[in-house]
This record gives sequence, C-alpha cells and structure tokens, in this order.
Amino acid sequence: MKFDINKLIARILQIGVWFSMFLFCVAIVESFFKKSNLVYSSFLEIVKGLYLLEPNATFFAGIIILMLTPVVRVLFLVFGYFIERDYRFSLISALVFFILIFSIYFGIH
Amino acid sequence: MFEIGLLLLMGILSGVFGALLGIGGGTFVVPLLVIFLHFPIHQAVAISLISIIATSSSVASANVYNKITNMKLGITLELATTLGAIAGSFIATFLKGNVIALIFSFVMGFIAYFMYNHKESQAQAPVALAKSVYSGSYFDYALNKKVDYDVKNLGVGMLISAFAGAFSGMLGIGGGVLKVPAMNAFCKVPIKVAAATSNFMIGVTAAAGAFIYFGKGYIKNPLFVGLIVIGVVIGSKLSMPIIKKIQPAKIKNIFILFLVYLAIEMFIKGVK
Repeated sequence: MKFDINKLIARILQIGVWFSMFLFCVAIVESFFKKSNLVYSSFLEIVKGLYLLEPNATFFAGIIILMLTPVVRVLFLVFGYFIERDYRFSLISALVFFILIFSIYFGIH
Repeated sequence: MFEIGLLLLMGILSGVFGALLGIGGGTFVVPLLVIFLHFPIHQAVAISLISIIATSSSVASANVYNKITNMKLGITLELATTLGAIAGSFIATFLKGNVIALIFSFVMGFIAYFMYNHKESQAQAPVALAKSVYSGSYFDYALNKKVDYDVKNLGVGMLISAFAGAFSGMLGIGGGVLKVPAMNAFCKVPIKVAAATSNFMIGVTAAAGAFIYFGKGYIKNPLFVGLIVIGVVIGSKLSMPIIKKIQPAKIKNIFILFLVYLAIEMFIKGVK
C-alpha cells in the first residue's frame, strides 16, 4: 500500500479527539460517584489519579491528550514529509514542532 | 447536576452558533461564559482555546482526508500563527481582565461588521502560470470539477497569520475570520481551500496558546472544561444537518445582531 500522508494525519486527528472525548465521558460518570476538587500539577499525579478513578484526574488527562493532538500531528508531518523525501517541508514541520515544545516549556516555567 | 446541564448547554450553543456563522465555536464560548456565568476572562479564554482544538481537529480530519486542505501552505503559515499565539497569550497573562474584555468587544464588533458585509466569493479562475511548491488542486463537488490553483504573496499571508495567531492566543478565538479572506484575497487560494487550511492551522495555533494558559494555572476546574468541550463538539456536529436544511444566509443577520449584543455586553464588562 502506498504511503498517504493525508490519511495518516486525518487518522491521528480523529483518534486524538475521540480518545479525549471518551476520557471526558468516563470522567463525567466518575463524578457522579466521587466528588473531587483536586488540582493536578504533575503528570505522575494524573496517572495515579486515573488509576484511582478520580474524576478530575481523568478530565485533566482528556485535556492534555486534546492539547497534545496537534503537537503529535505536527510531529507526524515531520516524519511523513521525510518519508516522501520532501525535506523542505519536513524541516518546516520540525520548526513548528520546536515552537510548540518551546510553548510547553515556556508555559511551565 | 444543574451545573453540568448548564455548562453542556453553553458548549452546545457555542458550537451551533459558531458553525452556523462559519466562524468556529470559540467566538461564542468566551462571551457566553463571561457574561452569563461570570467566569474570569482568562479562564474563559483557556477553556475556549481547548474547545477550539477539539472542533478544529475533528473538522480538519475530514478535510485532510478529502485533500481539500493545503497542508504545505498550512504548516508554513503555522510558523507565524504559533509564534503569534505564544506572544498573544503571554501578553494576555499580563493584562487585566477588563482590558481583554474591551479588546474582545472591539474584535467582535469587527467580526459582526465583516460578516454583515461579506459576500461569498466564488472559485478563482485557475492559475496556469509557473507553479510554486505550494500549488495544489482539489475536487469541487459543487462545480463538479477539479480546480487547480497556485499560492501567491506568501509573505502577506505570513504577516496576517501572525496577527491572527496573536488574537487567537489573547482572546481564545480561532482567527479564521482574518486568515480565510486574507488567503483568498492575497494568496489567491480558492475559498474552500482557504477555509479548510485555516481550520487545519487553528488547532495547532490554539494549542500553542493553551499551553501558556495551562502552565500559568488558568485551567482551574477541569470538569467545566470537559463539559464545555463535549458541548461544543456536539453542537458543531448537530449543526451539520441544520445547515443542510435551512439557508444559513437567511438567519445570518439574527446571529450578527446577537454578536453585536455580546460585543456591547463585553464592552460594558470592560469599562466597569
């Protein structure tokens, strides 16, 4: 099968949105059973909270997956254009990826 | 329980209104949350940016699959929109809420004026000149033919994209209302490709801004975020059959009036 960058990117965006929507729905169900006002600041805490069925941890996980969906999409464009030997656009995608990483770093610090 | 229903409803309304006007849900999320639920504006902007990522990604997925989006043009302009968004959201974290409300009301007023005057431009004449690396083609189902086009004046497109990104990061809107006409008028891209490419960029732009708000702790109640995002996604999906049944042009003016009303309310919030 021929590599199709459009199909790959379309699939990634779809998976990201549906996965986060799924987590939001799970979190709503959890919130009927458990009240939580916990605010999470680290990735590890969120993973632990997910395991403990803490609604806020599940909501946060959904939010983070949603925010990372475009980042993953850009990363796959870097690889996709590289496979297509379109090095110019692979480089441009890599620059956008680094700007996003900078935004994550800048936001946290 | 009541709160859950109310937030879902707010999201659904934003999604429906945004889709019917073709300006994305973000334009409505911020004023609805600030005016009716008295949210602090920075938190409303953060929630709006996250809902924009969801709607942009789900719409972009279909457009990319159908090869309407010009991904090469999109990723290039994203260099400008993401840098603009980081700058815009960083500036916003230093501004007081009422200043942002004032800027928002002016931008909303501009959008309302623009929507009122806007005429749907038809497909451009095919460009048969020397092709750049950005040239593309798509199948137009309305015209029932393949349309070829090339991209011109990329510099102007970059500049306007940077401003659109800054407004997106500062106000929690998509910025398509700036980019789509600019890509059509200056870059000579057919309107359908411009809309699809703008939508493709909006998700990345909103994410660049959202990370700044996230890091600064403006996502305080994830339950609210989740409910509104689900609402906006449901709303924009619900509006698809509505758009097919009714003529959006006919009800456009009612929404424009509502937009003007929200702009005035935001202005009052700003000067208080």
